[in-house]
Amino acid sequence: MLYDSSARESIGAFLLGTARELYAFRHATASLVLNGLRNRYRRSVLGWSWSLLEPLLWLVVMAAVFSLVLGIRLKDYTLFLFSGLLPWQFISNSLVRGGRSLVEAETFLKRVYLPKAMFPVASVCAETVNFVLNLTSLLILGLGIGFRLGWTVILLPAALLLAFALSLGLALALSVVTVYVRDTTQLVQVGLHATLYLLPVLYPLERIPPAYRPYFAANPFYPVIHLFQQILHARAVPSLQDWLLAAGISALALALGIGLLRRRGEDIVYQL
Amino acid sequence: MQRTRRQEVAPSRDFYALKDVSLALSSGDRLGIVGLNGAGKTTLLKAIAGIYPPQRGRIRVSGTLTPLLELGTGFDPEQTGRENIYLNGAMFGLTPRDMMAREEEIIEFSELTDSIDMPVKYYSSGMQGRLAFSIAAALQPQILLIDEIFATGDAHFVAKASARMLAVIDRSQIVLFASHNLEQIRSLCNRAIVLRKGEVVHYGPPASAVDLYLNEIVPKA
Repeated sequence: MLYDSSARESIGAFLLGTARELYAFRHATASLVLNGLRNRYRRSVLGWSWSLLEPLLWLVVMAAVFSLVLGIRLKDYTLFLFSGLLPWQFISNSLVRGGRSLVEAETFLKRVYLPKAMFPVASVCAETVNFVLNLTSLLILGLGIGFRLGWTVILLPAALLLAFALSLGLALALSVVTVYVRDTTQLVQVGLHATLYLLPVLYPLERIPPAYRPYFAANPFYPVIHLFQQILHARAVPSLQDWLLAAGISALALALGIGLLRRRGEDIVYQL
Repeated sequence: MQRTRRQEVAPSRDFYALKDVSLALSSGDRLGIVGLNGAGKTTLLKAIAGIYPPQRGRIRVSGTLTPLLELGTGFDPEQTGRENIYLNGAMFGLTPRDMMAREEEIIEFSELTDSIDMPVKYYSSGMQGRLAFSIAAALQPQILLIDEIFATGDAHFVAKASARMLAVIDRSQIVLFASHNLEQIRSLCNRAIVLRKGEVVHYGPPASAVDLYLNEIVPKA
């Protein structure tokens, strides 16, 4: 191990070094992921069933309320809602939990050397596991009540990968910012809440008057979530343009997160 | 290594927690570090452990290193004692398999057999201290950094822990030991530094370092 303050690391060397460190600390990262998942349902009567029940109950409430308000056929609306709301919950939980992760790791970071990226990475990985569980169990349940799915579901892993990259990039960035501005946690929560209502997730984009549609579609979270809506609800293959747009936004988010971590990574422990 | 900077909360001006510290240690060395509170003892250990990257300078470490500062790596209070054994071990760079081999020994030494599957948040501070110490003492690094950790708890545990720590020190190749216990510095170390306001004011045999510290640094009553 060598530390030299005068050595300037290139971005490539930084990425390689971070990947190496994360691999070296993979057991610690796995331990954090597992603990994060366990903590969620520890000592609740229903335990792991909540990973299915929670989004299900959410969906029932949302579907009942919005199908009444919007007067859409219930079954179709439920599938639409489910296809957008689950990825949204994944992204938004990742940002909330990942954003707080470095600040919450203070006791660890001050006592032993650990790669800083480990904490947001572990948070987003735990959310990913949860998301996959939710998605699988609701899909199985949905087939039971008569959802029709297309072969397009085989595209889900690709959409998941982009959602993961978007969440990870933003979680990395927010975790660093939160170390300097603790209010970020609250701002993010309010912001995410507002974003949910601005996103064509609770209602289809077609419900918005045509003149305003571009503004709603310009929401940076929309392209990735729209991939899920197309794959699951519309049973359509998203166009190349849709994929590229979502991939571009995810790449930007990752670049932002990695850039912030590279710039501020060494200073973080002094700010905790 | 030179200069570890620590920014104060009021960022009007920086002050240096460590300044112009140069050290080279090799196998067999036991370095004592003495100084008043705030002289930079812990900061020096943390810089060497990689926790505080220095503002300016170089640090080179080869070999496995375990920092035993403020007892252990900290716990996840929601997890059980047993789960925290694995978490702590992983943070010290050990694999689950390594920890499995040590698990029984750790639990037994900590005397927590009955409460090891209880979340750590229900532990008394004495119990937490015992668990942290037992985990730390079960690792056998090549390089050991110790910051006053001759254990907390009742007299019986402290005695047993001190004996264990001496054995771990004995098996380590390099030990850096910051302490206010001058007797231990004298008996365990083969060289020592005296820190004052982040600077090394003396480097030599432990006896001369302790004398200098007592005569020139400690305020006279």
